[in-house]
Amino acid sequence: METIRVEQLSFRYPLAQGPALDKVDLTVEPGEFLLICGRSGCGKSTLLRQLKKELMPYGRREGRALYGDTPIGQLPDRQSAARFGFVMQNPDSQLVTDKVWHELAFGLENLGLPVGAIKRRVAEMASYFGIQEWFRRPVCELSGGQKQLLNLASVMAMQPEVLLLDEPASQLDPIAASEFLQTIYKINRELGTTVLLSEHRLEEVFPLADKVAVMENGRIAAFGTPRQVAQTLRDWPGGPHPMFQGMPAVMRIFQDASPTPPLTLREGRLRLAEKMRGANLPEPETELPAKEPLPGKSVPAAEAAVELKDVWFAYQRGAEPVLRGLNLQVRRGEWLSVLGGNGVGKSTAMKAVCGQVKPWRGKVLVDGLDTAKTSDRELFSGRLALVPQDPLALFTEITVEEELYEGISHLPLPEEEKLRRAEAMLHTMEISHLQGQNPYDLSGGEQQRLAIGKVLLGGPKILLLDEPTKGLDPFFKKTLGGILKRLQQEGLTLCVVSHDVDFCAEYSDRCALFFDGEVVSEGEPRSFFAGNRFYTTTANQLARRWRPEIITCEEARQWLNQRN
Amino acid sequence: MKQLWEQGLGEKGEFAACHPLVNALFFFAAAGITMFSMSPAFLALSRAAALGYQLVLGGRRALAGYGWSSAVIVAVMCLVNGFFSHDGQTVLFYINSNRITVEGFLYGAWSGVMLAAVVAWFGCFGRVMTGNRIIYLFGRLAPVCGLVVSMIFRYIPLLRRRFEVIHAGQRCMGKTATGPVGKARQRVKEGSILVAWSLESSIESSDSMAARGYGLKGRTSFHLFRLSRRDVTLLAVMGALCLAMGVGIGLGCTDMYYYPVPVWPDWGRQAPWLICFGVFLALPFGIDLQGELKWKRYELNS
Repeated sequence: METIRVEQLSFRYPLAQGPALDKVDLTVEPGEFLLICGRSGCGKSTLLRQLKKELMPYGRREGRALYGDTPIGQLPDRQSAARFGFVMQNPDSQLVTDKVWHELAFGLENLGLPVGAIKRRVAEMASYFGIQEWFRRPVCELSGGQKQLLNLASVMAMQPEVLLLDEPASQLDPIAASEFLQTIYKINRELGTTVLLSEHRLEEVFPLADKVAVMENGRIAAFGTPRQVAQTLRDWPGGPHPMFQGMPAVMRIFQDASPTPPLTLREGRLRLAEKMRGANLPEPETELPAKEPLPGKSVPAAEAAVELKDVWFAYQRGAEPVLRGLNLQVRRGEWLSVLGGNGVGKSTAMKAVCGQVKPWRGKVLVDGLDTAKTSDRELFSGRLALVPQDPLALFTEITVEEELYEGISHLPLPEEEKLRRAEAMLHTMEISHLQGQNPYDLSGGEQQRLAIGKVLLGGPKILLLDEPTKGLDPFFKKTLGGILKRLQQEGLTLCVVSHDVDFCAEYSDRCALFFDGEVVSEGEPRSFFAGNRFYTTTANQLARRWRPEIITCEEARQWLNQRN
Repeated sequence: MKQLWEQGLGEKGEFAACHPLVNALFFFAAAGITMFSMSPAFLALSRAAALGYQLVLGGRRALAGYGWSSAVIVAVMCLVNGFFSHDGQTVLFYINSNRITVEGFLYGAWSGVMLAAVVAWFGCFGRVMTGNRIIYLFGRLAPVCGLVVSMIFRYIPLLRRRFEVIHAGQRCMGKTATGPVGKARQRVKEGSILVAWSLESSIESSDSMAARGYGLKGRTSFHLFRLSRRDVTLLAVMGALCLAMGVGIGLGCTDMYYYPVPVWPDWGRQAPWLICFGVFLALPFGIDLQGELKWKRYELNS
């Protein structure tokens, strides 16, 4: 185990305008847990890749990165491969082989270990990560969380001293992400592996880190313990640093209310209790709860943009139904958010709306038309559109501009009109500055916006979005939320499937909670989240004892400020 | 036993659970010896044994299909050889001054049986050799071959799923083409999205491989198979039988001449090799049957 020292490291990609890294200084002691945060494109990935010899990007490098006394670029191949583990974002594309056990062994095979030795290490890793249950399964049957855990385990099987993780949890749902980050923490504490982790979702990982480095434009803007960093960002000269908006919700809520920001929800709650001592609590609910209105209270059919009536569906005959008498309405001009865990039927319901699966009982009406009796052409031209989870599924062209034009090319319109609309969409989606770029070179948030723009050019009245905030940093999320809200005000009906509780609380008009193939509760966000005890936003969890109607950070912050 | 008769054992049989080397040796030897025999006794024995093993694998319902396909192979070979080979002496009739002979048909028919038997053995091979076993075998040849096969098995389902997502995405954008030309064009476009997307993600795959030391010298090939004592014994027995058959083939004891007139072989001279071949081909049956009986006893006792 050696110290990692980065000294005055600068890096510039070929043909790039500015440097990706600008005189970075950083020291990571053995066994430390370092969290690197910053917006997309701030240089997090570039920095991490500078520490892994095999993945060092091509470009101009100044300064140096040392492991002990050896520059990382000069480590012997075998040492570099075994001692530095690297886990990337996408769970799927990192897997190389077809079976779980083979994936675990892949790195060890490369190191040339004999079969017996591999067997032992693989067995050890499988037991440590709880993989033994799916040890012999093909990797394509695993869930996203399991895949990413497998990626981690197969790196750990090589017994690295340093673990580099580049936004490893960004493609996972919140529960899998939390499990994954806890595993990393466990590795760091129990095995003493040095961890360098970059991440957007800081709620959980921020208090776990020993040190935090905040990056901005290729530089380290703040560095220190989580508490120090939080304070530095908040007390930034000239108002809180923009990155403070990316900090965990508790810290933002206590932005002005407390001299030292709390790090965890528990800490925040204790502080709040202190502050609220003597305040009047609302009457605790001792009586039986009032009769709740049944979910699925419907509006007249004419007001419903999408309506699912008693829909049943199973993927195979005799299999457990995925949708069990689902009733759901998306009203005209509203933003409905569909929440719920994995495998409760959210995506299947979306597929049913798009006619990708045919319900074997019940009806799906889109804009008043029965999807079972409507042709694709009628359903999708000017009525309904879906933005898939992965925007890459839509891209065909080599520039952003052409990509948008392609989205409208099949419509019977004069050429100038098509060009004008594509041009206007560039502005609507706030991607005008990217018009000449290749869609594949954009960041996740920009790709997402381009995909939405392309789909919208078909002129749909109802837009379905599947996990639009997946992998986005808080700033891109905010931009996306703003754009979607504006589109909604212009008359678009939105139905968003998401795991992102905070995003849905902030922007949607109504939320619906899916469980076991049906909607178990729905309502406008305030009453919806006030009624949930566990499945709710951080702000609500914190303030619900006193003010159950508070659901967003901003509300909680203002409420706290008033109390002062 | 009833299950064996009705549905077959599939990959769950006892022989299919042996070490892949045992499976591979058996199937290659069975097919190989068949290919070097022209004597009707050996060919018929091989085809019959293959049919029997097909029954063990697929049950009685599968048999009819195999029977029919064999009959077709034999008939086609018989006709093709009969009409294109003119070496025999016993002339049936002439077509354009070409002799059509009994020997031609006879030779064709027996080559057909040989082909049917070899096809059947390879069919069984394909059924027994699941992905892992194939990867193991290729890995024995060269570690990189095993890896390539494994990656192929990994990418097929991945690409299929990705294509479904792309197709759904295009459809839900209102890109619903009509007419054969439009549909074909749309498919090509979806294919090109698939290629672009997969190339993009393959950058990450190759990074992930490089990060884990792919390309270092002296790569090994890991597997989960263990050569048990039974496997070693089986390999030894099979090896001995194969060696014996090799001698027999060398001595011409599995052969027969069809031209210019069929010379029926000296059955007495061929008999010992025939018995040897029979024992060899009966091995998987024996193993599977023994396994079934064991299970039966086990279930009765518990």
